[in-house]
Amino acid sequence: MSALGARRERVLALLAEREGPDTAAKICGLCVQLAGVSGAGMTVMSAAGARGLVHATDPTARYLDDVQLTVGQGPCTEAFASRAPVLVGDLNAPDQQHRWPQFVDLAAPVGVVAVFSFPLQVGAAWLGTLDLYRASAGSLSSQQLTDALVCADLATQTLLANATGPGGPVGLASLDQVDMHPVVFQATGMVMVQLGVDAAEALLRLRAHAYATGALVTEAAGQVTEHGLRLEAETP
Amino acid sequence: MTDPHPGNPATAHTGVVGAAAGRGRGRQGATAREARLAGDFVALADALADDFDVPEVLQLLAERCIDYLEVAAAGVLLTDQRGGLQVAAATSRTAEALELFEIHAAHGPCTDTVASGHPTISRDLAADAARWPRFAPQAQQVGIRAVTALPLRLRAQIIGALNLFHTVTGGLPEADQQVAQALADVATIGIVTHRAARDSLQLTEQLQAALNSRVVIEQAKGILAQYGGISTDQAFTVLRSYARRHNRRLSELALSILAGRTLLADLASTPPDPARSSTEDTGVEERHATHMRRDATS
Repeated sequence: MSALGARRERVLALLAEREGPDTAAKICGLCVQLAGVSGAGMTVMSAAGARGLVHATDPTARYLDDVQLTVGQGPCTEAFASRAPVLVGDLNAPDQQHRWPQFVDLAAPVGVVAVFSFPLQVGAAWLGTLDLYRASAGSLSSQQLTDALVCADLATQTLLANATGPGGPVGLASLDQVDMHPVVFQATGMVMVQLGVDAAEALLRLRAHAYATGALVTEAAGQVTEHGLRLEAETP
Repeated sequence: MTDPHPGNPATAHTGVVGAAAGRGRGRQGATAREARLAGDFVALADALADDFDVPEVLQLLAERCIDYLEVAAAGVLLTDQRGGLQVAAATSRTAEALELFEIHAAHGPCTDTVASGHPTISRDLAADAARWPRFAPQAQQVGIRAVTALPLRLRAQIIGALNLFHTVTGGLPEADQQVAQALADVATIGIVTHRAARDSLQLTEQLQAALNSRVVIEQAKGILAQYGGISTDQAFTVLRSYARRHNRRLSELALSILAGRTLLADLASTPPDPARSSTEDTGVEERHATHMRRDATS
């Protein structure tokens, strides 16, 4: 058996020892332990821009998902787009500071120092990312990296297995636990009518408004849907 | 034909030699066969190649058994998704007819192997007539005297069987049976891998489509809410009601709203859904339908 295969067996055994009905939560929790990080989140995404949080181990991991939805950049966004792991041991390192300035603006104040994102992919298809963060600087060891890759592989299998779960062949049932940030897309539709723009433009405007007012895009979206916030047309 | 590796000890020890020698090929033929076998293994297992084709792989498997072994005809049965059996490949009409006969009669060495996952061997069908009272005479009638059926199996998963037909009694020498089983094993790994990759791709596409459709429905709710001056929950009720009334799928309707193909004024004038019995629900729909008419005409 290859080293990776042996490690995979070991990770599977550890996963089986964990209690609880939610496999996504178990994988995230185990990955935090094995990779020696502070928190983990599992995200599903589509190439068309849909994005949902399957699980987050702590509020910071959840917040990082919100942040990337707000600023449209960050490790998870990049890992999904490039289909390759994104490994940043120190967000404050000089060569990393300009990579995602807006992401760092929002992530650094809550103590996020290192981020590691792994695409969840099967052959040519890819469905999301497994995202780790740590409150201290440093790279993953090769053992930690192997374990994180194995966890990402198991996360992919879980998403696919859920897609054929008891909810039926298309697996919408499994998506019910996914936080799709519906308020953001509802607000996008409202801004489309307010400004007479398309969906992509409306989402950009919503994000810009959130960023300019120091809010997360989910918060700004709530202002639009619940409190009648109207975005102003851009003055030329 | 020359031996590219004269004196290769592996060649001298392989059990394949005996069988090939029996056909008068000698050692050189056996070594050449090994060289070709290596290439065949790659072709049979190359499941991730873009042009991997299951029927083609199984045809290759059947034909190589004819080429290399003391076999008159070969056929492959494959389980389908509904649990039935299909003839996936055959080297002759005789083989195909016998495979079909086994499927219809639901008995025979090949179906036995699919059921058990183990080889089924009859070195003399005449002697085994009691075992397969319908298949044995049928096979003998077309000149088949012995049968070797080998499983297409990966661990617990049995996907079919390879059937080798012999016109003389005695069956396959043990070493030749091993060669046939090795070819079958490699083809099985290829097919199982190919199926898994195809299924994953399909599931991924479904998952992506489900995600996208959720986004589009939320966006359409927002458009309708802003246009009609109603809440997003009310907007959803209107959308659902309109979709039912016009027999359209919600996600398709939402897409068409986003693309501007469904006029919002049409939606706004959607009457309450008669299929819904809850008076409260209907009341809500009436209220915002009226609301939206007003907004649409202002």
